This record gives sequence, C-alpha cells and structure tokens, in this order.
Amino acid sequence: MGTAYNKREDNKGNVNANSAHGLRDLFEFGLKDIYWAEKVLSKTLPKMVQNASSPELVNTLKKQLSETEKHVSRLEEIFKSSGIEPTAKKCDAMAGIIKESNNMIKDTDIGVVRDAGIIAAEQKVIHYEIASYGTLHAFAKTLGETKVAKLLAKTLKEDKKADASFTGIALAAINNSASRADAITNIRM
Amino acid sequence: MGTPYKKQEEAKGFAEANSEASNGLRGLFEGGLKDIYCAEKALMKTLPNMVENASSPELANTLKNHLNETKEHVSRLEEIFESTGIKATAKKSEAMEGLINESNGIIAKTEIGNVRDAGIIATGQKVKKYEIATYDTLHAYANTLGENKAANLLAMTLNEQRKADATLNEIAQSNINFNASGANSIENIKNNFLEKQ
Repeated sequence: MGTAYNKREDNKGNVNANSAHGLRDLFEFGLKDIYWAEKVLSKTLPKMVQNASSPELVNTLKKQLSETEKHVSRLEEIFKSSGIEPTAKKCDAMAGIIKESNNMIKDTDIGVVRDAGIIAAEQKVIHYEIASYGTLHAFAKTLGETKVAKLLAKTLKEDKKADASFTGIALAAINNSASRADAITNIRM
Repeated sequence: MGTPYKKQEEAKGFAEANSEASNGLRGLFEGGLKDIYCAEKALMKTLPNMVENASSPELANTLKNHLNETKEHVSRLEEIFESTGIKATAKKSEAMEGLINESNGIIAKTEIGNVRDAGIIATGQKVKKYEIATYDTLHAYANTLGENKAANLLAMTLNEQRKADATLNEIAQSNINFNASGANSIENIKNNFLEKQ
C-alpha cells in the first residue's frame, strides 16, 4: 500500500522561491495566518453583536470579543518569545467564513432566525481556530518552544469553551424559536 | 445585562434583510445544505491533488479514504435534498474556497516530504473542523424542523467527519510532525532540539 517516496517525487508540485524548508516555517505561516484572522475577527464581532437579538447571545458575543482581543495580544507575546516578526498574512479561509456570515445577515431578518445564523457562523469561526491552534500547539511542542506551547494551549482551551457555550445557546432556545418563526409556506413537515 | 429586542431594532449597525430574505430556520437549513454541497464537491476535486502531494503512505491512504467518504457524503446530501424536497443546487462556499486556497498555498510553499505532509494534515484538519461545525448545525436544524430522515443522514456524516479528524490527529501526533521537525534547516532549530535528535 502507499507509494514510495522516490516515486512521489515525480508528480510533486513546484516549489516557489519562498519555500518553507521546515516545520518551523509552517509554524510561522500558521501564526501569521491566525494573527490576521483574530485581528479581523476583533473588527467583525461588534457587527455580530449589533445584529444579535437574544441578550444571551449578545453577552456571549461580547465575551467572545474580549477573548479575541486577548488572543491577539497573546499572539504578540508568542511572536516575541519565538523571535518571529509579528506580521499578519491574509487568511483566505477566515475571509471566506466572514463573507459567508455577512451574506447570512443579509439573507435573514433580525430576530431569532438571524441569531441562529450568527451562532452557526461563529461556530465555524471557532472550529477554524480550534483546528489552527491545535496544529500550532503540536508544532510548538515538537519544536521545543515550551513557553509558546503553553500560551497556545491556553487559547485552545478558551476556544473549546467558547464553542461549547455557543452550542449551549443554540440547543437551549434559539433553534426552537427560529423554527416557530418559520414562514408557513416554508414548512414542509 | 443584554439589550431588549425592540432596542436592537434601532441599533445603527443592524442590517436590513434583502428581498430574498429567508424568513425562517428552514431558509437557513436550505442555505447551509447548499453551501456544504458545494464544499463537498469542491473537496472531491481537490483531494486527489493532496493525495499526489502526500509522501507518507499512511497519510496518502487516509486521504484516499477521505476521498471515498467525500463522494459518499455528496450522494448522501443528494438523498437529503430529495427527502426534504429541496432543490439540489450548490451555493458557492466562500469558506471552503478559502480553505482550499490556503491548502494550495502550503503545497506551493513546501517541498515534497515530511514538511509538506505536516502542512497537508494541518489544512486537512481545518477542512474537517469546518465540515463538523456545518453538519453539527444542520443536524440540530433538521431535528428542530422535524426532518427525521435528514437528521439521521446528517448524523451519519457528522460521525464520519469526527472520526476522520481523529485519524488525522493520530497521524500528526505519531510521526509526521516530529519528522518534519527533523527536516528543519539548521538555522531554524531552536532550543534543545538537536539534543533530542
């Protein structure tokens, strides 16, 4: 099973001039990617807060905003401690998720349904962050960056908690009320 | 704490719904299904490229499995469209497009071998997390809407996505990340890594 390394070389993609030669480079790219993502999120979240109706969701989003700001400064600490220049690299994936959530806001009326959409979008954002921080944490440990690994683990833990609290809100009330708000014509039960 | 509903209505940043507004959870459910339908189809086209760029036989096999599962997820979605009476059309998934761009970027920036493998695993996990978040939400919507058959099908896919994420995690933890680190150029190696070698 599987193809031998040498044979794989034949159909390899071309490496560009800025190619990453090691795990450390992937680690750097990853940090710069999530740095961009967190910074953009800190600008996007206030809009989400304004579009949320349920007080519980508003509060969770506000908490999310202050955590995001904390994650940005934690990343700056990580850059400093690992000697990597703190520059942001556009994160295509987060840009796509944000575009999607803006469209969702346009496609819904304010109220329970938009709330359900905001929760869905936020959970995608947080899952993206969990995947990124999970990977970066593993990279940091492998690279022997102990301090950085600890800081990344903190953020990872907070993101997992945030995800759980969005799930809690979604299950508790919003999805149910959103269903009752359905236009009769849309219901096909 | 919190703002009452009426007050929110007057908030400045609140967006007007456009004329095609989906007025209910069902609208969000439809939008979500069409988004993930587009995403799964795009993945079906991208995964073979990832397989070709993977060096470790273990990773190559896992990606091949993912490709098969992805095909199955597409047909399962078509079954869901049929069962719910929703037209099976794909709506461009901006997020998945971004993820795929990112993954192509990593392949372009790395040489084939352990480091590219680590990059493929990292983007693969982002994709899986995106799918898990989406299917999880759609599953909750289907339950709320009383779409039992669709809910069961969505739960099946959700379960498979979680397993796939766990498999990638195992590969990452077991050897690839460590080997990729061994492939580091000397000037990049920090701390006591050399001692570990």
